[in-house]
Amino acid sequence: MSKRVTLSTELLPWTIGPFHQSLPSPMLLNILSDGEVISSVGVESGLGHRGLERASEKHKWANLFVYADRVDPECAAFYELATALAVEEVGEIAVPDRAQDIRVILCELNRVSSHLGYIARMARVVGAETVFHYIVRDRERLLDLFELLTGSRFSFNFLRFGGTSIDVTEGFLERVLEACELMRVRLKEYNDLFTFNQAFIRRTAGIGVIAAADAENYALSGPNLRASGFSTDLRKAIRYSRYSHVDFNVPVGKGHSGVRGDCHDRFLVRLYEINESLEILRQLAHGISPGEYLNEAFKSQDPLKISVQRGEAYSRIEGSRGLIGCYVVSDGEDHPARVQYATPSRSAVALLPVLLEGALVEDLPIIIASLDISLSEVDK
Amino acid sequence: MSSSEDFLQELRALKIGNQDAVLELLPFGKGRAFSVWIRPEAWRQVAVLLRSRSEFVCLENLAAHRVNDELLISLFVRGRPTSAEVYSELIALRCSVKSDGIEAFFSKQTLSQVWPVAEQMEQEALTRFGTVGAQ
Repeated sequence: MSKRVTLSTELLPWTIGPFHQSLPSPMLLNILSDGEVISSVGVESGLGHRGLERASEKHKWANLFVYADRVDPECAAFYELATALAVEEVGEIAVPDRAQDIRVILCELNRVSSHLGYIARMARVVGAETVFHYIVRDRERLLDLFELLTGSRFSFNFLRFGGTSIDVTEGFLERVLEACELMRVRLKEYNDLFTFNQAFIRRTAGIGVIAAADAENYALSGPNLRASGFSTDLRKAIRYSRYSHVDFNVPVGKGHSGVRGDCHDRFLVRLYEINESLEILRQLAHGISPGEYLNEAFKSQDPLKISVQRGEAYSRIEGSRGLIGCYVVSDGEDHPARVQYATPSRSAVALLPVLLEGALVEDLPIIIASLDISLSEVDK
Repeated sequence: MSSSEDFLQELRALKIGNQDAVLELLPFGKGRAFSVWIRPEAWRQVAVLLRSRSEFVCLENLAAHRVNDELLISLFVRGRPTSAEVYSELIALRCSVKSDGIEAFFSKQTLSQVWPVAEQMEQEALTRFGTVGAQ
């Protein structure tokens, strides 16, 4: 009598993390899989909690930028801007046009640098090591520009209430224009080598699809939202800082190679956004406003002696990963009473279990990388 | 009339028992934002009403802030991303609870069934201001 052998179909529990090559930073995934298909995922974050909000409330107003930089070091300029806008609204602090132009230039350079980091991570996760190295090399040019403008390659501590800490350095705008030209050439090379390479399309098209309804329910924002077909961008919707003075398009996912809202769409939207940022940079570098880089009232004032009148404000800006909110409360003291950030990656992390359910195990690293999650800004 | 103004009119008529659910309506900051102060016991009901309207589907943020022995809780809900005008609208639902009662408040009035991202935000507030994480 022959013995009948059947494959076990029990769900297999396994964990990834907290430190793993396929994760962007420390997090824990508790997975149940049915063979190669993921049945359910539980996400645990918070392992990188640093108490940044609490710490910033313990220090003087001027120190806020130091902590804002560290919410997400790859997007430091955006957190500095969100913080500055909130405090300036509470304190009714005017910002000269030139300072606003410089802020937008820094943010758009940061957007390009952040998106290049994203493209590099996507390249690495599908095994395109060559592309990864090309992009990291090109991103160094942008880090050089950060250093030229702010003195730092990351964590700039560059903004001040009422403007920026210094004016643009000599030759900086020319270097920005040169970098824009170089990046346009490089983007074409990336496209030829990688973006429309069939191997990459096969690994990203049609997987990790975020339906429009899920994008809304989970309050996605930024490129992840736009890849699902929405054309909303706070730079256009509320036109903060000097975005009302520049002309640019908002790229939207169209299902270029697969389904609208898939991993390839999220990649493409970011790639096209780099082009738009280069256009914004070109316009501002050619037509930067004359005038002061800092509100006159703050030039002679010791930054550590600043106090902000009682009040509260909630600023919202378009970061490279999505919508960043900053809620600030002042009780009239020399330090904030409350600082709290709304971060775009929080929505992406909440969506992960829905997105990964039914996906193949081999697609998990690509889906996670395609969302551009920063656990640093989730854990704070 | 903008979608938020339309909603605010509907809110004014909302009752909890025989009391008005809304205590005060104020503009919030610059731009197209409103602050709606409500009774804590109406928190979930107002959130459900807000969520049921097609314009306001996105829970953007939940912030808590201690003032003396009370916690002010602010829920920022933005408009749908279908158009720039609606997307820029923001409603801040606000209420105050006793600072040692945040666990009880979130256990009764949790919004985790209303917005899938609310649970994470409530947990963040509890970690900071709950009895375990109180600082």
